[in-house]
Amino acid sequence: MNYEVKDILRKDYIVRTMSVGSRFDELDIMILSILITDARESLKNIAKKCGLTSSAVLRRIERLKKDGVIVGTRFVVDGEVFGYPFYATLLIDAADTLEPHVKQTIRAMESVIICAESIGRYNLCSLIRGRDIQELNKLTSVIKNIKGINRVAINIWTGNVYHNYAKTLEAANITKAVNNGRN
Amino acid sequence: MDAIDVQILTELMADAQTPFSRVAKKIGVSHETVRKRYEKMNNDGTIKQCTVLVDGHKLGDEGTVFLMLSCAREVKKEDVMESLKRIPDLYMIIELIGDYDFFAWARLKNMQQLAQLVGDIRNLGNIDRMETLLLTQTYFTFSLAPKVAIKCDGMDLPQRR
Repeated sequence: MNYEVKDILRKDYIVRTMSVGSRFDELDIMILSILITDARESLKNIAKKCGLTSSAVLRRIERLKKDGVIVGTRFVVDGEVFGYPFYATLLIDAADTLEPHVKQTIRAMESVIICAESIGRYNLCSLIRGRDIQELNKLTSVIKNIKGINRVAINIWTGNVYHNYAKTLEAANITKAVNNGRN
Repeated sequence: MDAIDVQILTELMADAQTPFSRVAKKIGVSHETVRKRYEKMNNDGTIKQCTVLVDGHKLGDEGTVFLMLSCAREVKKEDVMESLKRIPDLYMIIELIGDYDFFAWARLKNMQQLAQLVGDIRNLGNIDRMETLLLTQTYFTFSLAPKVAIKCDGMDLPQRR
């Protein structure tokens, strides 16, 4: 059988790298990082920072939305406002064959924020929240008792959190990623 | 914090870019009240971040790296935090109580970048133990609000098609 490179590479991979290479420029990245820092920044201010007109900025934002780069907005507030001051990271070691079932069960739980499969020493990683330490403890023991789970390690957050996605979007970083995609 | 503040936050949870005038109309206060309260909550740190969600796959990411880090014995946690903040690809760093001392999130672009990242962290010299977990999804951020206010599955950004 004859294989061509395009058969071996997954189709979506080619489309994805091409779209990165051809359609974004540094202005798009600049607009993205401004919006990531503050989604409510006015068009006028963004235009001023980028040296474009407001309507040009709006066009670019609409295009980023249409292309699925911007998929929504997120409003992050202090968990205490809504009565959930406690958070924890759970590292879960589940038996391989039962993993999908375990993941579904955990995801369905009320206080679970994320449950994702991971490659590494633990095969599931989950973030949970609770109103108090007892609640975290209770949830952990419920998860421990699910069939197919070998071990659960809990790490409670101290509340000292640093968060800045925009810094990873600096133009230099993106250019490098684009080049890697092309090679 | 009072009921009106919570109402404003709840409205903005659904869409962070809702105009203040619409929020004001919905909860029956003036535009000016909403703006003032928003600014106050923004300044006192109740509002952590108001942001757009970006699909990392579209920017060339392969997924996310979760790093579990333990500090060496004689170092201060605050110093480690400061040095971790300087590493380019780490966008979220959380201090922990438990097995590990820090939980950090990074973008996973390719294997060279991962090797570089792990090398950078090792070179800091104040990290004793490191656990690398690779995830295929790209997580940007997640909501700290209860599930009723927002669809929490939303933080699972669309999988690569």
